[in-house]
Amino acid sequence: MTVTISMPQLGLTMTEATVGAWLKKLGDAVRKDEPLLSVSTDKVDMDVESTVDGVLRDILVEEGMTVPVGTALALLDAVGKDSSTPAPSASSAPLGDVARPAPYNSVQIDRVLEKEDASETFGSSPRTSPRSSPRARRQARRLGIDIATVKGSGPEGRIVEKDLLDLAPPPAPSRPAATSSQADAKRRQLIADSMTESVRTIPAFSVSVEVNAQKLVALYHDLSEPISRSAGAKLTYTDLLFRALALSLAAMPAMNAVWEGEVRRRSQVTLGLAVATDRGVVAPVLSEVDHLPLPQLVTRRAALTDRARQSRLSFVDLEGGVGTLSNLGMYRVDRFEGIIIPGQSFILAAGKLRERPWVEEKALVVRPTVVLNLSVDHRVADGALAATFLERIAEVIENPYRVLWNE
Amino acid sequence: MSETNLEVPSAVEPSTEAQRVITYAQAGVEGVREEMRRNPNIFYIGQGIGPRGGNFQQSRGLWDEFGEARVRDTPIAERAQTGFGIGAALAGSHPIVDIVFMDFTLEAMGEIVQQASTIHYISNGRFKVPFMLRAAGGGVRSTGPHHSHTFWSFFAHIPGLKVVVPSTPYDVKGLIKTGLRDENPVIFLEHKGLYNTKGHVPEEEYLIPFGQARVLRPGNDVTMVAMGKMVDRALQAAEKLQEQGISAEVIDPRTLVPLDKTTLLNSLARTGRLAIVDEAYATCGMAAEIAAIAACEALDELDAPILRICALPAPHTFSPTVDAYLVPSVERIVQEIESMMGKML
Amino acid sequence: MTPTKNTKLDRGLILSLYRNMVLIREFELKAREVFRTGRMPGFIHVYIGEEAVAAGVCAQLRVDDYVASTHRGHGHALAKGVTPREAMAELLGAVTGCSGGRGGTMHLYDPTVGFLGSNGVVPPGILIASGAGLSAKLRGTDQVAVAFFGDGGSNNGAFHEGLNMAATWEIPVVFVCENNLYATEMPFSKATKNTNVASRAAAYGIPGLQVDGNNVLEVYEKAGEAIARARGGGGPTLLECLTYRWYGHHEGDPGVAYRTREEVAAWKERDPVKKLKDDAIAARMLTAEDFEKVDGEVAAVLEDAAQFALASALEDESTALRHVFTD
Repeated sequence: MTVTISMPQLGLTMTEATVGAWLKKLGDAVRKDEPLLSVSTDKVDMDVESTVDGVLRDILVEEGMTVPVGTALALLDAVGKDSSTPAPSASSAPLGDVARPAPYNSVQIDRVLEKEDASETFGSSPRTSPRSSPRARRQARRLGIDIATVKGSGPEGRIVEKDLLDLAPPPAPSRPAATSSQADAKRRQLIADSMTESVRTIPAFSVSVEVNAQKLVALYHDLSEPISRSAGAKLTYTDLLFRALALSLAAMPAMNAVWEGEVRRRSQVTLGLAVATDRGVVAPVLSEVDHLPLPQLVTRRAALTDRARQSRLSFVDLEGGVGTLSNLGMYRVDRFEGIIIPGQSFILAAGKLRERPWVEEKALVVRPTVVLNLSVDHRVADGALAATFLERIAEVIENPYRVLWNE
Repeated sequence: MSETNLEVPSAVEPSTEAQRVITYAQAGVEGVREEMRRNPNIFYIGQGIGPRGGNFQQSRGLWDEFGEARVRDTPIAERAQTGFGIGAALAGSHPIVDIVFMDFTLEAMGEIVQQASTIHYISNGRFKVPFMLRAAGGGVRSTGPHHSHTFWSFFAHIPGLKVVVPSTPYDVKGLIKTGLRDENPVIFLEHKGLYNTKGHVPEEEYLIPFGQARVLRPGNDVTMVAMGKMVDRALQAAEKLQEQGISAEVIDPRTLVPLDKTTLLNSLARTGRLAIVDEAYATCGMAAEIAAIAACEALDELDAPILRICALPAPHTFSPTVDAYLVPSVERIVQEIESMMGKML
Repeated sequence: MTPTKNTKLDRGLILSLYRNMVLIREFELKAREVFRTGRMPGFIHVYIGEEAVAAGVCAQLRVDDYVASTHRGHGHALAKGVTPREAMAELLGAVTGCSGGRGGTMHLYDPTVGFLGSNGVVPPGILIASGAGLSAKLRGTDQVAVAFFGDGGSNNGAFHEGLNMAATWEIPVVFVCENNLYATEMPFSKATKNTNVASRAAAYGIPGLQVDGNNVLEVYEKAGEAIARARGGGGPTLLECLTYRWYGHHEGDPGVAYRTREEVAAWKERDPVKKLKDDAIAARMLTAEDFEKVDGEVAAVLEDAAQFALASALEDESTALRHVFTD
């Protein structure tokens, strides 16, 4: 009989964990209580043991994936008498004799035996099982749901992935569109708390500047192809702005500090980047940004934003930033003011890069410009310091070939 | 704290309006001109591409700048044009052979398939064939059965040929420059209905690598792969679908060989649904090829059958009504995707 | 010997022409021999009887001139300078062949001597050679290209398109038609109304001449004129060489189903190799021993080539996808 191994509840407050490493391969024999895989939560790493003697038949969650407690992780073919309970407590997956995706097999046979009718869709004659998409079947396996019991909402009653996700509480997080409302609400609360704290406790003021981005645009075009190729990810304007910010900060140690009862300088340049995700905004950080060559910055930024969108950020990814870059340039926002993240000293808000009137040698011309707004914690920096910092950032952007080498 | 939507990594054009706007035809001319200035071994032959500047103005000004030696009109002899081009490539030149209408490449298929595509391989790498065949396909206003074809899959089928199908002015310039630096046979297939379309094209030099698809519109519900003139129709369809709450991602592969499978399959992994919009016929076309790739390499990602939205299987008629009917229209694209999503009109 | 107008007849030239013709003949005989042992893949089209054309034309070419050839191309390849070892190895599909074993008899390639390939299609060589000539002209060199093709090719679209465009653009190319009276089994007289290939040149506004393709000195002289004309910027010439192949169209075709034995015998009497030798001896320019010496050298070269080829390996599957594209 088939036995499902699900993600166990390993601590009182635990809600989800990440699959670390599979310790057995498909087809391996497994003994009861032998470790099958290791998992990690934010607090602890642990092994998950097999509940039966058997053979590992199906691995449903890959290494690196974070899944909620109760998610089916593996299927085992149990041998001998099954003396164990099929799943640990708190599991929300169906217990007992989990059906294999048998409909899949019988659908194949149905198709082979049926005569083809040219006017009908292939295989639409009487069948013993519902038609389902491969993706739905995969989801059924992952969730340990018998697909034969699912009602399909797709064309002609086809079972589609959504039908499985609607049934099972927490779905596989690899599909960002399907998130649980529980996690959403929780994230929203966190953001609400954080922003309120910022506004309440940080005396912030802001300075802003409009910057001539003509050379930045030229630089972007020059660098885009070679850097993107070298980095394995597409170079963006955000990357260039990020680097400009990092270089400026590295040259002004007075700004690389936070208020912790007194001004505490930081030894490294660690900066955050605001990323929009389905669950709300998050600002993961990159450390030693001033020392990263541009291709590496691009690669790391891309990896970081991917993880952010898949809700796979770790504690380390979120801590230690002294300031954050937020770019709303994809929208018709000319300028805006950001809210400083508690624990940080500033936030640089960038608006849309577009053509605007510009004065050059007393004549009116048209140039691509971008408006930067720097909000600063007044406990760390006064107006003059903030203005100097902003000036520096503007200078780097207007003469961006400095982005290519450290000054 | 504020929100950000980072630029989609695979989008190509930066969100600035600092670039100038030129036509698809002008972009091609610019690309060719720059490469001809850079490499004296490039020469350009074809019917009407000299003083006239090309039937579609696709070579305008080149004869004036480079003269008869390097920009030369040929008699109506596609096979000779192509064969001469191949011979010249073997001897160290880099010819552009402009067949003007894609349909007439058929007159030269023997040279393209039997000679150009094979020589580098069969000579065990001793000869290179740096050769570009340029032509415009696609139907526009009853161009009829001899002037409307889009059989790019014929070329994609043959190993040893690179196949480029640009859909925007930006793409034309960047891709034609890359093509002229590529020492392989490159079949550069523009669309005659796109020559007058306009778009942002940087004046500065840039190259677009082959094998890099472009995500023109991000989306979550269905991956629409489109090429040539169908790209714009797919984008229009995506707008209409959005009104129905269907979020379509539109991807232009830009080069059929090499094909950027990764971008297509990554998109499919997110959306679970794939539709390919191609002005060519469905049978044995690029849509069929992309569908096969998806079914072989990403079967478990599929939440719905793959759709090929293609020209209906009849020759390209002169009749204006039927001509428009045969080729995928925005309405047909919208309808087919709506039914794929399970929603009926 | 027939003194010819422009050719400086000296021993060196005669021996060189003789050597090349014998090299071709012995190569072809050796190839037939190996083919019959079953060790040669595919099928071959031997050039025996036509040696004077390849030898006479190619003797007037430089190593940086170009030649594009036909399915019956071993003679052209050897005369242009492809080594017997590499050619024989190629026939066997060995990696030491001039095309790495990938081309075989109909796809011999050698850029070091300007050999743009024998060809499995009739007659793209006309276009390829013209293209190479065009490239030379554009690059400002005085290289010349020669396209070999047969009577069969002279009725094909590529002939008409190619000659027309090459003439109009004054490309430095010489079109050499080896008229051996048959295209596979089709007599030329059944394939066309105008069996005078040379006369077709007038249709394209270029000079056309007919020569005795079995008289190597005549071929040498007339080819020399045509090549000089091209090299000097005078454009293409059509040179029709009347000749005959002793054997069938390809190995396995006895060649007598559509030809009479008498016809074959008559042409064998006009053996170009024997003719040169006999004429030179009769004119007391050379002795029989001189020629026998060459015979001996060539025999040794061929024996070596055959051994080399038979001992060489075939391509390993692991490189099957190499060189589809170049980087």
